[in-house]
Amino acid sequence: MKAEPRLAPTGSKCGLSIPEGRPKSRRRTNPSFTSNGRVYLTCAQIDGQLDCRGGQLRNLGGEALSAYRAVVRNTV
Amino acid sequence: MSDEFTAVGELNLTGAHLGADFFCRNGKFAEALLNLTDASATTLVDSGLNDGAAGSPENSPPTVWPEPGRLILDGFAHGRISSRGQINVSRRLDWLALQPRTPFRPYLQLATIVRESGDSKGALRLLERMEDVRRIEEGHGPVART
Repeated sequence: MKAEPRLAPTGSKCGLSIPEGRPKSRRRTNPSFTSNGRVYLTCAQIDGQLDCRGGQLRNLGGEALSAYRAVVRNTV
Repeated sequence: MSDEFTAVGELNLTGAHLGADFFCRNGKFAEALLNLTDASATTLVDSGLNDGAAGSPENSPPTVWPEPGRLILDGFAHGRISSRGQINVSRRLDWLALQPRTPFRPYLQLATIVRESGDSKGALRLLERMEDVRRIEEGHGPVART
């Protein structure tokens, strides 16, 4: 998986192409993925697992991941 | 955020609530700023800071933590630390020292976890260090101990 930089309005349920901001099933970003830029998960509600094993989040000098007040029901 | 997960830049998990583990075993945060202010997780699962069963190092490659000043743990609540091996208090003290400031809550939190793991002496060491840090920040010297 290769995620392009993506902006999502702060306060939205979720960013990073998670439909409706509240996925019911396990969210897998594994196997390895690369994100160049900022990923917004601000206030996201993820009912499963956010699996970033082996991935890369890159945004030199800025936020690579914004998960302010996100709720993940399972493991990150 | 494990298995050679790599971060470059800031990972802002301020206030995030993880209903299970924060899994960062063998994660690589050397070029990251990891902000866990007021975040919570059931268990912190990392590697390299515990002793193995017989005092030997763990088998897992260590978590590579951020550079000093780029790990923010103030208010990060976790009920326990990975059950692999025994918590090594000296290494955990070095880990806490990566914070830009030295808030007390991470020391208290870790002392509670260490005490509950059965290491009351280790818990006392953490509280003593916390007190030393507090005194130094207030312009006093560390407490003399015999």
